[in-house]
Amino acid sequence: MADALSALASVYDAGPVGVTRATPGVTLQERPARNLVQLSGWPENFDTICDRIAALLGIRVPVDCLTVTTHDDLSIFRVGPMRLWFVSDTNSTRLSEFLGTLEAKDGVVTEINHSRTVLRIRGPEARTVLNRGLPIDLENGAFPEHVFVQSVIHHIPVLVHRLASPDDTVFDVYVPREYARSFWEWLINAAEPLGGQVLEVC
Amino acid sequence: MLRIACPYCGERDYIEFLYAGDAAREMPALSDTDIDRWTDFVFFRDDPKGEHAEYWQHQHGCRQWLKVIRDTVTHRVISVTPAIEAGLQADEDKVEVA
Ligand SMILES: [Zn+2]
Repeated sequence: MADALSALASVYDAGPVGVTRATPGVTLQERPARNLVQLSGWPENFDTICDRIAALLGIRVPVDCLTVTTHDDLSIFRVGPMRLWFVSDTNSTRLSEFLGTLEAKDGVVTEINHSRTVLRIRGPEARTVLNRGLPIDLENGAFPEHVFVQSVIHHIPVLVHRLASPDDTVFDVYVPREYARSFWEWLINAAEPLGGQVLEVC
Repeated sequence: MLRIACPYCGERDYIEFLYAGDAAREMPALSDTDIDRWTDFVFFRDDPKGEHAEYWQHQHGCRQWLKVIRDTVTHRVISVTPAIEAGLQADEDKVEVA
């Protein structure tokens, strides 16, 4: 199968960004190899579908549009009251099996992994960098681990997910592919005064 | 600064939302042929001072349509209801009147 080309391929430059610090204030890294599938349900039977997900995938569907539930490397984001994102690093056989059981009356399944560019933003200044454009409180109490928001940065719709990490602050930011270049430019500008490091694509 | 408490996502900045018009007006029945009622519905809006019902879409969040009661003087948001619930409630109210 042909490999997907990164939207940032022509501008992505691993190396230091802006001011030099002993350790970078923030590291930036593209994460291309994600599987992302959206399921949009119907009001009549969405609860039943959620029960089936719990039974077949072993993951409880989040009750709100804020918490991410995860089992192994498969996570569920409830991006709308009746809209779910399934995200995993690898091809999940359990997920494909489950999606295979769905009929039109159960919901609409759309593969959207090529529609998003995923960036990992990590480090002591990660919050400061994001908050240069993101109107969301990212402090621990308001935005703990396993929480996500959909909001807007630099007029670009983004989904920001805080991952669990015992010793630093880590966010994955999902950006629509068509705005990835523009977002990247914004991100580099925001990171420059704080001292950043662009890591090799993982 | 206008802040809107989305019933699904929580309180958010207005830049995440799309203003989508007056929620107080009522569409005439499709069988209604009265030109004045249609003209009024399509072209004319009240400009109230104080509470105003309006539709907003949480465009960059959960993408749901919301019915917001906002004070046009202070910008205070008085209530936010999912539009789908507000619509069902309005339908029920209509049945009761009939
Ligand atoms: Zn919302």
